[in-house]
Amino acid sequence: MTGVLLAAHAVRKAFGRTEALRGATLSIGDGEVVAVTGPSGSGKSTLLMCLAGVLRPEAGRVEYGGRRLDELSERDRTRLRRREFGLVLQFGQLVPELTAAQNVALPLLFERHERAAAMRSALAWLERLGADDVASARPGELSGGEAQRVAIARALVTGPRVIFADEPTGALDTVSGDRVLNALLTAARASYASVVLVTHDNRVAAHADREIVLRDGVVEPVASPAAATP
Amino acid sequence: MIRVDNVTHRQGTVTILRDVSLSLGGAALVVLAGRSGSGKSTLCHLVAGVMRPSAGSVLVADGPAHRVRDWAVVSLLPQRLALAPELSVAENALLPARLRGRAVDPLLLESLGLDAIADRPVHETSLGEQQRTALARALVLGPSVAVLDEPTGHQDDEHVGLLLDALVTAARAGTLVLVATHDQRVIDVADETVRLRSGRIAAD
Amino acid sequence: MTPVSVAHVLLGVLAHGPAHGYDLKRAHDARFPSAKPLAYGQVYTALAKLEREGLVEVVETKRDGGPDRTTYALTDEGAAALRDWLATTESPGPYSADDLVRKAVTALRLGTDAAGFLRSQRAVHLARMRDLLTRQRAAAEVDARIEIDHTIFHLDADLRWLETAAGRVSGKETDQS
Repeated sequence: MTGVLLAAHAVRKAFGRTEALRGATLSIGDGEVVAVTGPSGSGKSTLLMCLAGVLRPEAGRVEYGGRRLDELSERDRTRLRRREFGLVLQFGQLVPELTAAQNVALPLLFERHERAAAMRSALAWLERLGADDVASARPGELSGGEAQRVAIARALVTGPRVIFADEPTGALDTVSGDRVLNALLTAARASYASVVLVTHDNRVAAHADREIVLRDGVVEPVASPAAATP
Repeated sequence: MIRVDNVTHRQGTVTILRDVSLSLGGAALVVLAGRSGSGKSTLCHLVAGVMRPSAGSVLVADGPAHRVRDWAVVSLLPQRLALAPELSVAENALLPARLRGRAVDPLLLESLGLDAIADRPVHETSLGEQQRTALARALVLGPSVAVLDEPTGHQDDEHVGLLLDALVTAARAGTLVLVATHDQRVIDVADETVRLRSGRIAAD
Repeated sequence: MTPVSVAHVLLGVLAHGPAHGYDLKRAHDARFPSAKPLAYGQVYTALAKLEREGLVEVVETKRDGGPDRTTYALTDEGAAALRDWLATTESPGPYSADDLVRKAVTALRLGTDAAGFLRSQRAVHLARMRDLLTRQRAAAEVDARIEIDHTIFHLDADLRWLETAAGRVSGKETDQS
């Protein structure tokens, strides 16, 4: 809502001979919730991972707070990813041998927080997301919706400024999906975090402040202001 | 080590396993073979204690499987890998050891072709590499039982050899390695193959 | 021009080239198989009105003792009226779905800036969905929330249909995973 927090300039990314991104340019504002949509195969997930500093583009650049990600040392990039960014995937990101609470505490433990304090934060976040009743359960025992809310708690526990979510409700039924999405956006907005939300679901996209459409590896031009409707 | 007694398991209205009984002892590489829908993945998850059977019992190391909470007794490599995106390849693979303050075999990552990418964020690697990372995590504590659900699905011919070697090595070192798969390459190196068809053990 | 949509569809067909009344009826019915087939009377009434308004003109009349073979063509004013119609978005909501379908099919078949039309229409639909979600969050009664769900689901269906339609017309149907 104020300045540009995160931006991509002419980003190109290929996997072997397949060009997933062919010059993608966009910006995300401070505190904005942006949906990234487009047909399957358009490069949405790849774009998300480039913005989140997980994948490195072959050409172009990604900037966070005005600093180029490719100019950061490996250590600084890791620290950025752990402290300032949170990542929520469609499924399968909870470590099977840890309880829900331990999973949520994991990023803090890797950032050398004291164990008891880390567990307290983890429980507080589980409570905020309505998942405190499964704190001692293992991921295998959780329903899809519960697992996603634990994953969101883990993404938020370090107080990140940007949450990256890749089809967070894709594996869930409509009702659970709505609950999870509302939990994610309420928690993100309460901490003034920006959200970049990859989705192929229009109803999910409608929850965002605006939409970025990716087609064939590039960002589509924005619709011109609609003429007066009849 | 593993005892499955008259297990029938349902999910909703579908019966996935029908009156399955099985006994496996000691270190070996055992394959649960069958097509998709045969119930092999479900049987794996029951042995790993992820859920309780609708009927019958599953015992691991003489106790109910669902009560085993120790990765050094039973570890699991699920189909969806379950890797933490905030961590690197090495951090994911060695997490169980790190949590217990245990020393790690320095050759583990190298034996699975992961040493060159050890510090990469785990999702910056190929699916094949991610799968091998998840396998390393399942084997790092030298568990009594390692349950692996389709561990070769993303492996090309160049890398599957590393994976097969790791399975055989783990079995020789004392782990009961239970693999659900339809991959003939794994079946070829197995000590024992149990075939499942439509939720039942098929007599060969 | 009064916004009668059958007339707009006829303008859209004539944009491909001059045609007889009979061909116009067949083209309309082929494009909208779920709609009621047009009666000839409807076609000729619409054409007569369009002619009065200067949007179509008669270019040829043949009568070899058989049925009337009047050929109609789009005038410059008619082409402009068609462009204006295609440039305005349809108000998103279940009751205008027929108008949306007519406009979208016409735009896609004409090909010119169909992408721009789709983008604008999508933006308007999404804006409406956003408003509805805000209202839904504020709604206290379950009935109201369910009713809003119904509208949102229909708007979503419109959007998915637009995307599919564009894919089929362009021949680049994407794989739905």
